[in-house]
Amino acid sequence: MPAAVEWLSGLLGRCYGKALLLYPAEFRDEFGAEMMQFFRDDCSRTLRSLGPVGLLLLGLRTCVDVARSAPGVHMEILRQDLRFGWRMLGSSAGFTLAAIAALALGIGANSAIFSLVNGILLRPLSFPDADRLLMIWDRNPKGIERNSVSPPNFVDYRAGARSFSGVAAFYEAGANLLGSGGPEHVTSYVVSREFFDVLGVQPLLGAGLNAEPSSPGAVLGHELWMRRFGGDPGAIGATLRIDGREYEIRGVMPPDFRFPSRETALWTTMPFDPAGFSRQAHFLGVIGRLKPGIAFGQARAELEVVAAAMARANPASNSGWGVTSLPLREQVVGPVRRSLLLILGAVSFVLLIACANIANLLLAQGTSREGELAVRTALGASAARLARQMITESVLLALLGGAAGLLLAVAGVAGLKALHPANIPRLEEVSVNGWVVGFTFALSLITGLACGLVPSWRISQTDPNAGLKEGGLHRRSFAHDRSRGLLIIFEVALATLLTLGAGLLIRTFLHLQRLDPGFDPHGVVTLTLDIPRGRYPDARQRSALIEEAAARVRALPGVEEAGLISNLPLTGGEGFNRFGFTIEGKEDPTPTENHRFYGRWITRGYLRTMAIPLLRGRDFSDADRESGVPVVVIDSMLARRYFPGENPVGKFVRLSYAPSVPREIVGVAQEVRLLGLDMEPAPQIYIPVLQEARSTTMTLVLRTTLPLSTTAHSARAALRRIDSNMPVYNVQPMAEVVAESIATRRFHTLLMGLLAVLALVLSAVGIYGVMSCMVGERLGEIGIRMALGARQPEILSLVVRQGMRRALVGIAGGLAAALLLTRALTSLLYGVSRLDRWSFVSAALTVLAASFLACVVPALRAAQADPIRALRRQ
Amino acid sequence: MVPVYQNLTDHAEIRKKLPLLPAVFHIMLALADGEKHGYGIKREVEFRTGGIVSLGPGTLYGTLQRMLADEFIEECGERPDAEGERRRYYRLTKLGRRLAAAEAERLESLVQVARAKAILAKPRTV
Repeated sequence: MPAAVEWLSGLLGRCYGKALLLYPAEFRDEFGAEMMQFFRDDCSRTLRSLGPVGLLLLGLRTCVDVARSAPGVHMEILRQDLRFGWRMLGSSAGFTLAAIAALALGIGANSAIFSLVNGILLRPLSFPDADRLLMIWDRNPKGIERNSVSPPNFVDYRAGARSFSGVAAFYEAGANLLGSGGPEHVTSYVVSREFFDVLGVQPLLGAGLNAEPSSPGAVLGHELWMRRFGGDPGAIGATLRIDGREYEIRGVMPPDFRFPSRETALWTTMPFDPAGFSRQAHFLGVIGRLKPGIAFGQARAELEVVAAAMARANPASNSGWGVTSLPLREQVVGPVRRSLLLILGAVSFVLLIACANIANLLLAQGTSREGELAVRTALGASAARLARQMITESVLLALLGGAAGLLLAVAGVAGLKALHPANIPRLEEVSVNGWVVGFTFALSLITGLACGLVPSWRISQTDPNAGLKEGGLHRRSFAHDRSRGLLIIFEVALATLLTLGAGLLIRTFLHLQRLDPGFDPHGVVTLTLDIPRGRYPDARQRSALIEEAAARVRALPGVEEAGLISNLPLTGGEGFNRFGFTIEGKEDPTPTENHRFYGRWITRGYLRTMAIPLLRGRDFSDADRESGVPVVVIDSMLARRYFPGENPVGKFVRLSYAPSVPREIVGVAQEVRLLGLDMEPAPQIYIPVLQEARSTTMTLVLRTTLPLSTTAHSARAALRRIDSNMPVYNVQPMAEVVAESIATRRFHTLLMGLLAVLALVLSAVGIYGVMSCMVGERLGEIGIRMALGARQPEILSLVVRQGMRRALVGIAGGLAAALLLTRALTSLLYGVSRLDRWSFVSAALTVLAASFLACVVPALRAAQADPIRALRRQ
Repeated sequence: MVPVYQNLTDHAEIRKKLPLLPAVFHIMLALADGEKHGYGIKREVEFRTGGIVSLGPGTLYGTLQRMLADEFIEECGERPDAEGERRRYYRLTKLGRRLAAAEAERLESLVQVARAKAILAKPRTV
């Protein structure tokens, strides 16, 4: 053979040797040598018959052969593993069901929480190119980052910001609709012309608001259109009477469009020219759409320049003010991001516990399968092959668990949505969709791999001969099985952490519920009424109406006291009706440190109805009306802050919205939590509504001795008798208003609580499983001990001690980790320290009790074992 | 018309495994008259099909592995061949032989159908 040909066939042989690496190792071990020989035979035969060219062709053909056959061989081995794994799972149905149940709980909980995270945090908002939408806020010099924008500032942003293709403004204004179906109050927003263009959503019908800016126009939400117009396209161009004014209907929005709030039913044009408005009246929300290709930072820098120019041009109103801009998505989901991610973290702990359980079960099963594995090893299966078999089985288990978990997630998501916590944004967009299924699949695969690693590692450490020896399975002592012990410690630690986290949230929630809001909500029912401005244009008419409403309602049977207020405490509206004030005889504050208060317009009887104690002076009386001396009642918060060590009664204040009127302070009321139970009280000034009927939305509060629903019903009827066209809504017990204000917290607490229960159950089941297994394996040893005179209590304590020692280490570990990890919870806690002693103690005791129960059942079984039978088994 | 599977063995287990992959059937036929080593199987198949079917080493041993796992064939030891090289030999199991027969019957009944429909000429009598 010429040297070149020899070299060529040598090269081909070496290449084929390398190509064999593409086949699974076991296959190579089995057939590699034969295949090499086959190839060499083929080479020499081809060379003889076809020469060196044939040799090259053979090389090519063999390449194709490798590429075609290698994947098949891999699949074949997987098929064999799966078939064998399936048989193994089927042969121990109890084990399989337990493992699938644990995995379904762990994976299902994760998929459900991931559905929330995906729907709320990850998916883009349902607007075209939603990532280009930004919210723009004025930045208040007192540190309020997101202050509403004043109309002239909006005009300046719109004109000055070149990075935006459009900037729009909006503000909430309830609308009272009349007509068939009775008076109705709906949530409506006044919006600037560009509003729908900026959001990139065009009306389903009609031209929208951009076309004819001259006359008042309205766009209907889909639901309102269906309800009031029966879905009639002829509604376009019709006239809608809102609060007595006429609006031309210029569009109907698509069904899922509900911006800025979920309740929005209607959008109307701005009834004023924003440029001509006061710069100090901050009440607009502003949203802008970035031009394509413009970076967020660039737009932000440009807005800063615009804001600085505004401050220079209008020093009286804008000095010290700045601008804040943030992505719309951040605005919408920012408030819940942290808590959701926290819960996602917590739920991953649950999965880790489930994994530890599965690993433990597989280990236990591995022990009972040592004989089988030893036989397979003796028959030539490599350790890698057996490890692969174990991992295939655990992945198979995890996929089955994942499928069951997905069903649980569907049920769980439906359950969470049914709880309907009002304050979670985008909850209606949450669903178990393709992403969630993909996530579940990936999670199941990872879980299966992770669970299979421990037992397969154990196999590689096991001496196969030990498994073949008679009774080899029962030879180890209690202390031997360290990996199982470690897994128990690990899962108990995680369960302790979760229990503690839930405990802290529950303590916070209980604290908030017990917290004195400053008023007594029990026995109080509330109704909101909207005074149609169109028919009561004059303040005097409005106060007459309010007075009559209060009088009629007070006369109802069972009503002890009644009153009205402009903004009920705890119903939101931070930043609404917030003004500055000056005190007569004291130096005026500088613009940046001016005194601020929340203005609340009330009738006499409001304070008494809410059981808000009057600390000094007097309540309003019927004499405090327009003709009388202007008076106010301040709260103890404002008294403490601005009249330290003085008696404020008899002093005079001027309020920034009407600075010409001096008002006498006639009383000091106890402070209340008006913005939220979890927010400190803020200074308030009460103004008699009969003196100044500023607000057209008033809430009636009644203290009654009769059932709340009865009184609410008769109050509603009484109000209807005064004016049948006045909408009355939000009929609600005050206690419910209080409960709703912490609905988000209740949701989080409930979720964490559920996760903690899941964690406890899973880890208790884990301990139980391992202890039962150990007892079963060591029955012989127990028999010997009993034969040597050990009595039942001793056996009992021996087994319980074994389990509890690990549980205690786990609890200690969990508490130690909590010292660090509860830091993440701080923002969700209120009035409870993250190192709260009671929570630590009760979490430890709860986990201890669960672990004890899990140990004591197998221990009892051990103690009741018949020593003769136990020994015979040995 | 004669249903294709009617004349086949009634054994459901066997029927479930039909039709066989062409490579499997070729290997079975190659082993039908005695045990052979891997390269011997390849030569036999090539010879009988006039070089049309040529099994590469990956295809051959991949198929052999599956047939071993399914117990269609078995190993019958390692020994030197005519040229003195040590080789592993394979032979058909009983199951493999029955399967090969069933597959042959299946193909035959197909051929009969083809004849009945005059796609294929009647066999000439010798």
